[in-house]
Amino acid sequence: MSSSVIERLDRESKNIENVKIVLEIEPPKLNSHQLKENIIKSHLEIIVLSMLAEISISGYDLIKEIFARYNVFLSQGTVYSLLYCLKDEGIIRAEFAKGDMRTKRYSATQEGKQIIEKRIDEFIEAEEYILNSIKNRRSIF
Amino acid sequence: MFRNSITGLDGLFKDGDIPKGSVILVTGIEGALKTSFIFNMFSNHIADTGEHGLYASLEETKESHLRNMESLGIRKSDLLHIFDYEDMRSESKNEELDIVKVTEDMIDFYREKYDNLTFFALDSLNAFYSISTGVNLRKNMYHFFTRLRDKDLTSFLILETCSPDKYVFVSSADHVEHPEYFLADGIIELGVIETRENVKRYIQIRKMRGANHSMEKHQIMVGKDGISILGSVY
Repeated sequence: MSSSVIERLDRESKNIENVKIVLEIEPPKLNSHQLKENIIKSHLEIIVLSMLAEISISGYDLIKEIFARYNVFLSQGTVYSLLYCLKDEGIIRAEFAKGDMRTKRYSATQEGKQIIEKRIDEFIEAEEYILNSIKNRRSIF
Repeated sequence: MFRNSITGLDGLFKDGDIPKGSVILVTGIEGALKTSFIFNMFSNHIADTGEHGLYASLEETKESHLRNMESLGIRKSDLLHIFDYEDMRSESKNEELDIVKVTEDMIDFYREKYDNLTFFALDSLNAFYSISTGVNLRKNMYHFFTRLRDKDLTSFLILETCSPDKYVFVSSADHVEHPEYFLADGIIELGVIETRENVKRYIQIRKMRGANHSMEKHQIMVGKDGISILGSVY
């Protein structure tokens, strides 16, 4: 075998090794639903706050509402924990629904509404900055 | 150090402490102060360390629980977070709750929110078992205990017993029925001793892996500032 053939085979085998390594370390590809689910879960607080600024809703109905809007099902352990923390921070309050002492409805407090508006503005600003930088990068190619 | 979180608790340890990251069973009959003991220990531990704690109550609402604790002179710290399952249970109505998943998601949420959340209590295991449906939860407790340890939390699981001698196994079948006893890294028992003259509450460390502890029963008292532990009851 000539030295050039050996070198080529050697190069190819290294490439195969590289491809193998890439395959091993590459994370599983996300489909759009998984991606959406990840975004919802990692920005759950702002999503819930934006809903509670508009409506008064129970924890159970909040889970249903998020599912209806985003097709993402959230655990009760996560959603109720979030509601309890927001309530402890004074951003939201809980009141029993009229004629139903089994269901607590959560809504933004007066002070909470201002905090929510500020957080939403900050969130949108940060997201727009990131999205614009991605869009601008795309236009280069 | 948990051993310094209740006055007199260090007297039950010859050497060591409740090990960090362990799962401890707190057992006893009704009225033995299991809930108050743990809540008092958490509140004082927070005051000493500035760490966050999580108290999951399946038996009482948060408001009712806090009222009871205040009546015993035990105040809640802002760093102690209480999760009560009442809203979830009443709003879910007849839907089945995957109580293990709910509990693990709840712990994960608080751990993500508070970096130094280091301890957790579940009150009570009895209610935990009664809510769970469709699965033999007792047989799956091994995995639950393992996951609590993996979360690097010192966990206290409260278990009400009918008799103070419930931990004494007479056959291998009892081990299957009550796996939590041998799965736990430690067992703290609270109880009541009745004599002709009086009634005394006691605390006893039955088991504590990694610590050299007394096996004696020590008297437990409630004063205006909460719980304290006195000397041996005998």
